[in-house]
Amino acid sequence: MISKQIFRHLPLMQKLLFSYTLLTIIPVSLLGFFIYATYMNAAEEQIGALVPQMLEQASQQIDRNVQDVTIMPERLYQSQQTIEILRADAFQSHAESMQQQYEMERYLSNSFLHSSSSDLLGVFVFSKNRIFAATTEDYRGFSKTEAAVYGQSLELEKGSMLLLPHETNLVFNNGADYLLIGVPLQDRDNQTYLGTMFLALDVSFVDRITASMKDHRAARIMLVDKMSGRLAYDSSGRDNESVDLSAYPIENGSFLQDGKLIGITPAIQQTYALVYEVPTEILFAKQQQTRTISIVLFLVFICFSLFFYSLAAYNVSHPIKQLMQNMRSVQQGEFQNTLPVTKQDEVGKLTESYNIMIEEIRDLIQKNYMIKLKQQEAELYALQTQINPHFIFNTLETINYAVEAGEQEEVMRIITTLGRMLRYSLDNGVKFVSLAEEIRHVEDFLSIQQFRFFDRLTWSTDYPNEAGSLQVPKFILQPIVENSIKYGLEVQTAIHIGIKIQQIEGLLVLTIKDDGPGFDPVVREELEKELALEPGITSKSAHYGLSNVANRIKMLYGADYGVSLENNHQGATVLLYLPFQQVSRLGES
Amino acid sequence: MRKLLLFLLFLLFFVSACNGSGVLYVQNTASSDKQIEPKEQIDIAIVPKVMEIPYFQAVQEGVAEAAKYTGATVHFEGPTTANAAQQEKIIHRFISQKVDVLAVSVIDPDRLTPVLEEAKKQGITVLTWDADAHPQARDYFINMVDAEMLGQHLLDSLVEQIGEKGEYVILSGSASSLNQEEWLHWIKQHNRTYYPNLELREVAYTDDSPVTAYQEAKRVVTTYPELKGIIGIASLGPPAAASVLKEEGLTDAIAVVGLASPRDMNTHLKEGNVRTVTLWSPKKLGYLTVMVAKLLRDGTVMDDGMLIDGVGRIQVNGDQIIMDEPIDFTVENVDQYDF
Repeated sequence: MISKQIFRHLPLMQKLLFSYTLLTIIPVSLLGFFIYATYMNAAEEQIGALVPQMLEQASQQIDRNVQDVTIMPERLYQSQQTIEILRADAFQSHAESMQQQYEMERYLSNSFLHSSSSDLLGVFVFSKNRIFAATTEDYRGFSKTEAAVYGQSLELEKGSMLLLPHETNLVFNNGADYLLIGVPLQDRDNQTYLGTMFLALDVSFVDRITASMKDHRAARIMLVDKMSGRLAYDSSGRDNESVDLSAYPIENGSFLQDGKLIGITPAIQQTYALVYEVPTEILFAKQQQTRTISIVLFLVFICFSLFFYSLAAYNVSHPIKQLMQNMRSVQQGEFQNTLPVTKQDEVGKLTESYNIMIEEIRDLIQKNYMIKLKQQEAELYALQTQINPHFIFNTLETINYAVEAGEQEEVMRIITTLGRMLRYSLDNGVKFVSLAEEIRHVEDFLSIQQFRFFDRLTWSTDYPNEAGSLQVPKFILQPIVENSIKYGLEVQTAIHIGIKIQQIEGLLVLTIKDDGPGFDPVVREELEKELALEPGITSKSAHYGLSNVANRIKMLYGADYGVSLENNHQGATVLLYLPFQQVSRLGES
Repeated sequence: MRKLLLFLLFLLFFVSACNGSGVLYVQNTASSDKQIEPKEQIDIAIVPKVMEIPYFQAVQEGVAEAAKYTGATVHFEGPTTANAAQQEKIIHRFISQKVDVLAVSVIDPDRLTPVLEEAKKQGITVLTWDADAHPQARDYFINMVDAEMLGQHLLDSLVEQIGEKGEYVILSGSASSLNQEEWLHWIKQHNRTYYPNLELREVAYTDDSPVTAYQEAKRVVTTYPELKGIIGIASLGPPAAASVLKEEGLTDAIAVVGLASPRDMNTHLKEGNVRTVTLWSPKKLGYLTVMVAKLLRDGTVMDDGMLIDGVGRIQVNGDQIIMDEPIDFTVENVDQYDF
């Protein structure tokens, strides 16, 4: 079951190819193999059935031939004269026996050798220690004594017998192979044994009979003595003298052995076996050629189909892979890329739907984000426009002192300034103001503080002439100046605050510089971290004044703008980076 | 997955198993079964006309040879004299012994027909040989020679010696012997057709007895002074006639031909009392009878011209098996035959 899991985890492309192999190539190759095997089996069985039938026909013909030869001695009985010669005793005058010899051999020659059947190599008659021979070829061996031995055994059996060349010493000078058929001769009238006739049958008659079976030149036909395994006839010449019939599984039929198709059938009254051998590679050469061609065609087909199937699989899996990669980038927050739709199939429709979905998500995020930003900005704005109650209280206390001291002119100035500040802060709904108005507001704030701290607080402002036409967010300077005074006067007796406004490289840079204690390094690090954060994530730290300013700038103008902090050799510097913008009525809405 | 693999393995195995054994085709060997089948042991009873005459003794020798060759159990028994009643008794006994084949040389067809029919009814293969019964009483008759041919041959042999003119008599065995009657018929027929001047004076019967044969021979020789020839168609005839002629000194005046065994005629031939006699080989007849009995019992169909071991080709004519052509014995070849 591990393999199942491995399969599950395979990429789609490999899965498809694997399935294709499993569903197409393996069944087709199995089917091909099966058909081939069945076809070969059928072919083998067909030939396997045909061979024994042909063999049996040949065997019957051989039997018939041998039978014909076996009954040939009948011809001897047709001549009373020859029977009389055989009946006659061996002990006669020389002239008489020569005469008999001549007559007998002439008769044998006329009626056996020169008659229609010409397969006989020779005829031998043994009788009462005499030999009468008529042959077509010269021969050696086959003396009276050894023939007498066969004669005696034949006399007992009273049937015919078959001898192979190796069983006698009879050799024909032309080297012809023969079957020697021994037949006892009987005096039928007296029922006595007369002698034995041996007929040497040229085995080449088997050639003639089996000629039709030798259409394959490699076929080998043998006539085998069942007892000894000796070959009586071998169409391939005498390569080996004998054959082991016991190695064959059957006695009559056909089988495959050692790459050969072998057919075997008994012949000559079961004493011999007619064997047919042909190498299967020759017999089935055509079939094997067909097989090779089929395999090559099949391989070509597999290559082609694999190629085209790979293409098809790629066409399916590639868009899905692209979709997957795109989804991964979406996961990481990239909503900008949509995919090209190239097709109108399911995958194309999927891509289309996916694109629509991504666009909708993007729109929704945008909407939500904007709403949230606006909310936050409103919140921050509300926070900053509030006049610090401490400031109001301190100012009122200053006024109180001044009234007690009777400095009426000063009181009037403070109240006027405070009134102007309150009106500025009350002017709700206006987010942007001109730089001049903002500077005036800071100056108002500083002058009121100066009533409180007298010489302890000094300030200077430096701004360009076109301050009236430059647009900045409202309440952007006051929180920073407030911080400077607060932290500066905590540790020092006097502080100077310098406000400088410059136009640098298309940016409006507002620098608030004091000669206070500077930022505590720990605090500064914290602050810088906070300032680098995304806008809208406000921390409720003590420095929220500074971070709120930074947030508002980022919310209004984007991440390219913001706040940076510097520690001078003397005091702290806060730099506000704003876009260089002309006052517009649009901004006020 | 594993199941699939197993299935594939199974398929491969199945496909390769088709090829495994190697044997493609086994031919049934029905054609050769006959030879393998063990030979049934059979009982053959051979009944001659009479036991102790040379002719049937020769038959017995042939029977014994064939018994040795075929391995069959053969009983050879006949009456001591040619007595039909005695022969019938012997046949009865063989039937009760449940022999497989009964081969009879019939003395009296009329008398023996019932008993042979009974044997047939009991499933015994009934043959007749040498002398036939009525055809319905037997399966086959083993005839020694063709009747027509023998009749002609005997008459021709006589004519060869005495010419086409004159008187002759025939010595037959008994009037009840069907084949002797048939030969007689053909001799007469041939006589009428070709030799109108030749006159058959009488047919005498020897009753298969040497004594009667001698008496009858003597009687005809004295009865017909113009007699020029005697044809003996029963084996006892010619020797008896030859002896009578020798005694009477008539060997030059009267010629004797006929059926007789060469052993019986040996002296007569050599002395010149008789120039030629005719017969077949009774040994061969005995041998053939056993062979036919055996072959029929084995279910072989008898075909015309078929070759029988130790006998040669036979003729088959309906339910008659004809063994051979007759052999003429003369002074030259008489010593070659030992019956």
